[in-house]
Amino acid sequence: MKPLTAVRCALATVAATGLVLAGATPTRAQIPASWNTFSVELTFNRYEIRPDGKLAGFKAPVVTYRFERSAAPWGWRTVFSLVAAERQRVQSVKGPDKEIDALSVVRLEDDGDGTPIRVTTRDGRRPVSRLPVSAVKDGLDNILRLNPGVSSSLFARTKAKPLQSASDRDWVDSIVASPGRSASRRAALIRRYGGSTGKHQGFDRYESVQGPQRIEVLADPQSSVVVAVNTFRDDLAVDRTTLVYTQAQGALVRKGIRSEHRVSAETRAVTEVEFSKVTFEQRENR
Amino acid sequence: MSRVHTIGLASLFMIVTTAAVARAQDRPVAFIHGLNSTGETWQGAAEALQQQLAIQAHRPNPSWADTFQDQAAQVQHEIGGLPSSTIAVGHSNGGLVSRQWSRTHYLDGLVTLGTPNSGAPLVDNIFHFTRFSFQVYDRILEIFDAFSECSGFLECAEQWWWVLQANDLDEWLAAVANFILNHPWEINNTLGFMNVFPVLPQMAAQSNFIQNLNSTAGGEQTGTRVGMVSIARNWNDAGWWRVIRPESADTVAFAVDFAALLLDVWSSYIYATADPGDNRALSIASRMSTASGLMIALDSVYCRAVSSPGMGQACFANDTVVTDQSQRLPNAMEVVMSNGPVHIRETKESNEYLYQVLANVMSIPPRSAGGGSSGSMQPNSAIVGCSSWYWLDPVYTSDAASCFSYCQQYGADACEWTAEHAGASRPGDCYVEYGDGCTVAGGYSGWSAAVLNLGGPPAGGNSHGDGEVHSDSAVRGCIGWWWWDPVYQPTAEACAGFCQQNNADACEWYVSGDCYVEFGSSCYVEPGYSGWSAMVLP
Repeated sequence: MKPLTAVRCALATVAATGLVLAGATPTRAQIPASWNTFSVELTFNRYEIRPDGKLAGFKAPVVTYRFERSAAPWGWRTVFSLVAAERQRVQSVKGPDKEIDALSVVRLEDDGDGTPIRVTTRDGRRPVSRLPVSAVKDGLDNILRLNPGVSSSLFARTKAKPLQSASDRDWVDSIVASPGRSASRRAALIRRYGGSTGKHQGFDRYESVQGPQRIEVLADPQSSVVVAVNTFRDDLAVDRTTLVYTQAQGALVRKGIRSEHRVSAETRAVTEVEFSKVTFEQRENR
Repeated sequence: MSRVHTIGLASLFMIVTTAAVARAQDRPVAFIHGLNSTGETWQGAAEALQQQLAIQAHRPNPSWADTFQDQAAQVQHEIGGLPSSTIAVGHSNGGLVSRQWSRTHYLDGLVTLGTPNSGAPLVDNIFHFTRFSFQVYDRILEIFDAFSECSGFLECAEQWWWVLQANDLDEWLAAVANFILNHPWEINNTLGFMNVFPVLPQMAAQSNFIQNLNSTAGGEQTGTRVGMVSIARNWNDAGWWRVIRPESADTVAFAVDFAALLLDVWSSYIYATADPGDNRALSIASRMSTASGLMIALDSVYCRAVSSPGMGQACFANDTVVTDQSQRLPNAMEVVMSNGPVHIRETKESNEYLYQVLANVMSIPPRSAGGGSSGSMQPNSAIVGCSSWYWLDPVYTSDAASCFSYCQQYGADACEWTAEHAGASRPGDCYVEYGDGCTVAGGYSGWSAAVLNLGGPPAGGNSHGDGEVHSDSAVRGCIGWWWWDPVYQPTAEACAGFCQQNNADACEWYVSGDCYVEFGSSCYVEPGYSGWSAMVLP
């Protein structure tokens, strides 16, 4: 299949904003007829910029995780593990410079059946992950006391993670957009935002006003893959997200997301997420 | 100051006043305190060392906010009559005062401990770190805002609201936000950085005073010089918290890292599975990811604040306040305490090293026999021959002398400390032991031991509990509350026993097996906390 002009345009747009795309292009992205394990590596690059686009000073260590979901009889099991993290260079009177890890927690396993998650630290320990109840209580009390805008209902235990059947695999379309699902993607956009309001830079433009916010979505006209989501409040851009895809074996595979949101008049927080090593496998004996 | 230290020092003081009166021929040693403290900060160490070595301890009280020149003049006024054989031991700023004093009063020995000999960038950078902390707090609040907004839309609420509560993310975030919010001010208050003039500008890296002190050859009139450098244990894990609350720093470090990981887990989940056209899902993921990035960076930002003038990029190993590089004393012998105490504990937890420096470098003889073998830890020795022998689970102490103080506070009959891995024991393990007929035997490399025969733990603190375990309850209302990192105990009762054994003021246990040994006054038990059990000891 020929590359989509619109997607190339989206790539160019994102590249112009500074997204650094590195790492392997997904090579096994084709969704096989039979699979029970999905995995992807996500690399987070986070920093803040000034209105002129220049770095505002803060930049977090770059971190790469592996995100894996595997089908189990009761639903989806999730394993999230640290692949690499930018290390901190430390100087000392005790010998040569060395580098130390930024994160002490390196793996989280969630069986997805309501049992407690398991956490592993970089030294191989499996700590019991609770804080003293008073630390939690004091934290919640102070958040609510100091921030009247935050509702206590946020902290009420009302919502559990919905159980997701192992046969429900529509979520994969978010990462690997297959050509056969263009119509359903378009239908979803129309359901959420109404019909297309026109074109912008060759993309279909959808728009919706929700209270004080105006949301603008740009999608590729052929595949209906979303390439940009912008949110305005009082005509001020508060959120701007661009999505980048690459082609692999007939599908459009998510390559990156760049989210930018306004944290003050002078500063925008940027998160770039690069997706790589998208893999579907049929694993046995699980 | 923790209850533990208060009791420990009281015990030491009793021993000193009865057993170690300085004599006229003893070597004068002036222990000089640092910022936001008085001569009292040296009391425990000075008296313990005076008990062990032939020294005559002096603890002058210069006004710590005055210029170093004025403080040195005050020291001269207070103890200027001491002979030229005097040794000065200065902690933190006290080291700089000592150096300045040596310009007018010859000192036969000079020891600096945790002293910012090349200045302390934290003095200037603490405000940058404070700003950064507020940034982290604000980004966490933005997560709550995003979920608040989400909750107003049925589809979003149905689809994503659970994320905030997945693995108790909301509680971790609230606790971490609370840790972060007030802490910079507490650092300022504890270290004495608030409105402290005129000394504070003199402490800054590359201040005129520091430059002059380090560049004027022959200005200081000293004999033997020793720079004691502490690299604090786990200095880079929540160093910003460890600086004033080292007891709970490992817990807080884990809390921040775990909360950051949870944010990345669930933002990844949203990015990987949400409909790309779902603007609210993207907004939630973006805010979670942003906050996580800042939380992950907290430790390195604090290290840069401690290390780099003008918040540069450099990060040096440190004692949570002063880098190891800056603790170096020019033209001096260097003693490095790896896994050493944090800055505010250096006067309390460096006795073993100070003993070695005074005895072996300054050639001060030990006091002649008379106190028996129970007065201090014997190197390369172990406890043998106890009947009815039992011991508490080991706790970490930075040196044998600190272990000795710890054993005293628990009324131990015997005490052991190891500097090396030995079986299940790890370097720094301190054992409080009870039994009859214990003796010290030599020939155990890496171990230090002492017989105390104190006869059992002292009575409890000033809490007012009933000593009963209450289910579905938590400990509340503690003043000066702090806790140890949790250990696993299978039941609430087992946890209660562990807390009693460790002379806690209060105790909490969660059904997952976490057992918290807690200290503080005025604690009480409050019902209504599902899964938790709590006890306040009488």
